[in-house]
Amino acid sequence: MKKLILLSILVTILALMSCSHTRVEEDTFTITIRDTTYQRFVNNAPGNQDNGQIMPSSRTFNNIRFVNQYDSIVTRHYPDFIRLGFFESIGIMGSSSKNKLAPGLFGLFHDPENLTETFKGDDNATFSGAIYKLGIYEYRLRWFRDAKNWTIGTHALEYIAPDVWIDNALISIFPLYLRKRYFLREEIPYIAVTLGGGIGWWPSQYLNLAASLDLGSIGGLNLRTYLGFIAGYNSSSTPQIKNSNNPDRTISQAFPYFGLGLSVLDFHNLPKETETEWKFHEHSSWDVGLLQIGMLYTTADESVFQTKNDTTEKIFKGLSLKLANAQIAIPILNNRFYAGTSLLNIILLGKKEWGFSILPIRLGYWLVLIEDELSLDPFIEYNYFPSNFINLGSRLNLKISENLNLSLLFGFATGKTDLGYDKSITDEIGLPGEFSRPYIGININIWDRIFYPQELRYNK
Amino acid sequence: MKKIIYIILMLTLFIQSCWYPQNTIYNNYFAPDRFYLNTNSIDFDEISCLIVTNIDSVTKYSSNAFTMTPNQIVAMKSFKSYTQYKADITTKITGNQGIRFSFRTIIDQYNKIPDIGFDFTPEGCFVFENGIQIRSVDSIKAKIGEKSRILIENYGKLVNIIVDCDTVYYGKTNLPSTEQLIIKTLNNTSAELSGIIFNNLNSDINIFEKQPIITK
Repeated sequence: MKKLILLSILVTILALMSCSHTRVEEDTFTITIRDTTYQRFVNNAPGNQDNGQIMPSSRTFNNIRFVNQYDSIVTRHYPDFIRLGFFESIGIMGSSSKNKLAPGLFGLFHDPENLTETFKGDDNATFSGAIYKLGIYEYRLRWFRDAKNWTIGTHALEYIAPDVWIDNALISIFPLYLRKRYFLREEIPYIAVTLGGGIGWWPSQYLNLAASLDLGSIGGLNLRTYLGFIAGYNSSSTPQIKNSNNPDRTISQAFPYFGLGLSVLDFHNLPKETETEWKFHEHSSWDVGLLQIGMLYTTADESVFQTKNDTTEKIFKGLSLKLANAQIAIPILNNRFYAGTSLLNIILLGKKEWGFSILPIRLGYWLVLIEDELSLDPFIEYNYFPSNFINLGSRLNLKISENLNLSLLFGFATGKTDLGYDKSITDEIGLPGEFSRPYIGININIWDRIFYPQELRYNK
Repeated sequence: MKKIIYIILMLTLFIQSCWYPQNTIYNNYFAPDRFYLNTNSIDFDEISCLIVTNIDSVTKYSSNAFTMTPNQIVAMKSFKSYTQYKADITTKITGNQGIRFSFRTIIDQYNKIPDIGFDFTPEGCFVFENGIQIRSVDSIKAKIGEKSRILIENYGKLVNIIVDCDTVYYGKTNLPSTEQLIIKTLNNTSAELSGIIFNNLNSDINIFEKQPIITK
């Protein structure tokens, strides 16, 4: 299963990279320069010349004409997508009445106690199932005489779980979706009603019709409410059935659903914005990125990198990881305060001191020290689920490129790892407990873009 | 499993084959504002056209001819993207305002950056450089409903505009030459443009020309 998840993430990244997200246009200006050089040489002949005799002049006249042409090429870059996203998660209701998956709000807040192989579902849960979409891409579809706001799109992987049983899950790679949006608000963050339908074709075959009310994107974050209907079929050759206890059967199902969804690193453009150069696009965040990962030095007794066989003292005792991050500028005072979150936040301060959190709430202040290069980012982060801890810290960010940054990270984290994790998890990463410890570390931020004051739309 | 791999491969090849600009599927569903002239022609260079205004305003009716309704803009350039060319366009207008050809400019920020404009109207021919009129010829006029052959030559600093056999303008300009030739129908004038050919002059220029040494 781990291999499948890693493979899915790899495929998603490759798919997103291969998707054309930038359209390049070039204009060539040919400049012609005409120039003429005249050279006159007078080479006096040595010796005397006889007077009274007509002699040819020794003057030489050289005339060189140049026609020089060169091309001046102007390149413009435009976004070439209507929607490009990393991950969307939807918690759905109505897909089953018993053996509910209980994925929690947005399908993201699974109770750690339920992450066991023996979990048979929770009949009293509010959310009965979940839909996960990894690697989302939508392109402008200009049919019906260029009718407005039609898109055609796909996801690298779509996973629809109506209940806790994996045999019932409908899974497809690159399902094909058609969508039509009706915008209620055409300014960031956009509000739109979206009508859409799609088909999954392998390994499951299904039809998904849905209407949604969308809010976003801002900093790549979107909120959605869904009303839809899914009908699908799992043949005996699908991995879900093959690996089940009863592999010689097929499953057909149809169910309506109401869902609440959230997507991260999910960016939207209006069709008119695809005609606006990237450099003129509006940005709402100080920092948006895929992954921030770093090594931490703490005063913990045992390092997370220590194993039973290797008890040597390690310099780095902990690890920090944040996945799918957004620090959205709050347009008050000087616009430098921000609210942020991450899809996943893990902080390991030592072998027995760790916290794991979904969608933490982060507040901070973005201080630019050297324009386009160095910034300081003090923040306070409240992590409420499943671990409960507060992280007070600061990052000193060095911008290396548009996609890569380095950070010096220091701070103090206090709280407790919530109990209830399955033994298989705690065996691997240590027993949970309370912790309260300062840390200092170095982060590398991958696919992480820092924006500077002049790029922020509030400063324009 | 092998069957699935074959299906995926076939689908990929099918989608790949659809995904190039001149393809009808791509053109109809992803870029209806683009059309192409002289496609698959051995003799003439292929021309890429962009409908800047309403996509229904332009109708391509043969391999190198199209019509335009009033107040519409089409930007043309050779598929080979050369900047020095001789454009040959047979024009028929209906309406009393005429048609404007703009060149040595680009469609991005059209009307905001300098250009050479040539107005071909029933009242005469007018040439503008950067918005300033540099030539007015009232003896060469567009005849409504009749075809006229227009030659526009962009060659180094040279600009040459010929209507039928009459030279409207022959002169030099300091504006750099660009790939695009932009056609705009003026108010109340629709146009039929046919026999559109672009000849490449980029390869023709002698970039270093040395005169023989003259001794006096």
